[in-house]
Amino acid sequence: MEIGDIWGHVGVRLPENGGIAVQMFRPPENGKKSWLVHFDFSRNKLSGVGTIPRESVIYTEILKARADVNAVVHCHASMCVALSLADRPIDWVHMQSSRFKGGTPIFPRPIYILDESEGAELAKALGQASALMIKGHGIVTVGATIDEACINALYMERTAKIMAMARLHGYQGPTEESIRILSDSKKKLFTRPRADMPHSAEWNYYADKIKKGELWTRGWT
Amino acid sequence: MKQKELQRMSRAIKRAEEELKIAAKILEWRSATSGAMLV
Repeated sequence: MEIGDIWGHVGVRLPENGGIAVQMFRPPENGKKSWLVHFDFSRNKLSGVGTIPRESVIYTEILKARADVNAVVHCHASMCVALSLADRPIDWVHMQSSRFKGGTPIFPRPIYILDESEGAELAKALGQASALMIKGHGIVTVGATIDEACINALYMERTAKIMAMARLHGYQGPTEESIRILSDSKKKLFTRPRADMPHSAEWNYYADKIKKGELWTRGWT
Repeated sequence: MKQKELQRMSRAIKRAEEELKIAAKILEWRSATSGAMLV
């Protein structure tokens, strides 16, 4: 199990800020194939299959608060939930986790995000970060694109697993020095030429497997 | 709104929906061959 359970969803701002499209991970209860629904910022269904998500305010309030964000993921990533209970934010601890620099905020109340006020509170807690943990509940990741929000979620859970395992062996979390070394090395890496791609390498890798009908094994990370 | 603009928006929405479906498949709980691990 990689990103938790069946209850996640991913959404995107529609063109001209004309609402939000959300794809649920699971099929709707009436058996239709794909639960993809459009709704407006007042949470009225516009079109599509199924009802709007019960936690639709996660999308409406974050997209209202963050003009730079176009896509949002919400799911119940298990190791992130475990670390949220221990008040351990996900942080920049290895090559792929710079996106969590400074530590992901933790929304302190283990609640479903149902009312506009709770959504606004969540958006406030997220601030300018790329991701947030909801204590005892799950995660929210954001991005300028669906690709970015999706891969942020994938790396968030992966980083949580790495941090949890390292802590069992005495790791105390990132230090100023470790961040400086990672940061300098990253700068050096990006001085090397790289092909300009419309999608991330990770997205391309998994999208290709999905297209071919293949599964993959990520192991515990 | 001009017809061309409507068509452009309609294409953008279709592309976004395709990407949402891919993202859900990348993230959904079954994708990491967890079934095989349970056997």
